[in-house]
Amino acid sequence: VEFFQPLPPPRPRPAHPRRPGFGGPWVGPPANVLAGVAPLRFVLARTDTAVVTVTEVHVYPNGFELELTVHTLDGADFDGRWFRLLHEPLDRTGAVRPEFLRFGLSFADGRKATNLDSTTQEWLTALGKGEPPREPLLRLHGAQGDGREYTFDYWAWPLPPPGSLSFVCEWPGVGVPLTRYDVDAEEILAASRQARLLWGEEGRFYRPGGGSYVVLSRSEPDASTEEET
Amino acid sequence: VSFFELPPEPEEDDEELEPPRPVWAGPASDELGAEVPLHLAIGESDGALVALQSVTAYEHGLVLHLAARAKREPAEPTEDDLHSFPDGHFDYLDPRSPKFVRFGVQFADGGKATNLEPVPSWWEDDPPEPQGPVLIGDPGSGGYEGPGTDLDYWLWPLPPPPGLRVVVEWPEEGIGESSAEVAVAPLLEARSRNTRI
Repeated sequence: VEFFQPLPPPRPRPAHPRRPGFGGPWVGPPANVLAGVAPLRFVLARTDTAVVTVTEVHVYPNGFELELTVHTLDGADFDGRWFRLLHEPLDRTGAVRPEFLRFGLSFADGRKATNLDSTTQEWLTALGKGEPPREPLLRLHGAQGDGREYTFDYWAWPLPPPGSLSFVCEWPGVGVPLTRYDVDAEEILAASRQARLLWGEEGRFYRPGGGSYVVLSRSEPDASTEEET
Repeated sequence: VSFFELPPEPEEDDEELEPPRPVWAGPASDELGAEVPLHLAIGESDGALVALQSVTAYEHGLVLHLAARAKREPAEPTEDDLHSFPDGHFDYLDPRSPKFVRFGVQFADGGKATNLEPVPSWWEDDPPEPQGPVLIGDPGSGGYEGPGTDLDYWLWPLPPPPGLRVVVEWPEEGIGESSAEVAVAPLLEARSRNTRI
């Protein structure tokens, strides 16, 4: 028997970047729309060791994307463990780790979405079934970085109502208290009006994260349109 | 002597291996910049669009954010495409290919730079400061056959008022040489919102 066994043939994968999907405009940005850009680029929180910024606010008719970046400052003792913990909100007892960077949005009508929502089974089950969320949604669609900075790509649904929109964070492990940064939601709403349909129909093609996109059927979801596992 | 010898402590001076980037080669690492949305279609055909979506203004230069998009649903990949890239997949990165999105700028004083020119090698020891404007680009985050390509270009130095001409050409998508004028004053003024990290 050879030490290095040849690899088995690749498992057949669906030959579709697009797949039948279920859900609605909350799942992600449209695949056929060029986003509008909001003039937002700001420091959300700052300590001696880290700075948290919000940039790349790209707005669609149904919601917006943003980048939340942690910049470590010179001499900061961050390492791979820290960045791993940024993806593990809960410890073994179910408590939120102090090292976890809490982030959320607060709308003028009192509704909010946070990056802790996805830790609840109810949230995951509803999203998995394609049910409309009862509250605004904040979904992590990607993350990348190195030892000096780390960026989270978030999708926020829906568009905020007019009035104040707050970006909120708290990071106990790094000494960041509950911090809010308020903007006029009109900054986002104006950018949504600059979004441009490029092809196809509105409201059917969405990117729920990753490279592929889903095509929503216009009828109610049934077993034949459910996502493959 | 133990069979397993622990490795020595890592050197702490790794960061010094990277030469400092000259001001003409990119924004300072502690600058956040200020965002100026533009949504300016520079070139457009029935099948595609190249737009200057926004500009991020920094102390010594600008980052121009371009979006190149085909106005059609992406082609259905074949089973083979999933296991290897099809021939010509990376042509959009080759300046000689018609799939390459050509981009350039012209200053009001006549200075010109395009993404077809080689980038001055700023990473070498003590590089000379370039004479004219420079465009230093990101070859694009998306593939040609995907939903499109995002192209970010660093432009140095700051363009003089009143206008900056931006020019594109995308032969593969039927976009001939097309240009638009960008008012420079709002870009320079935006630098007052540039935040230091």
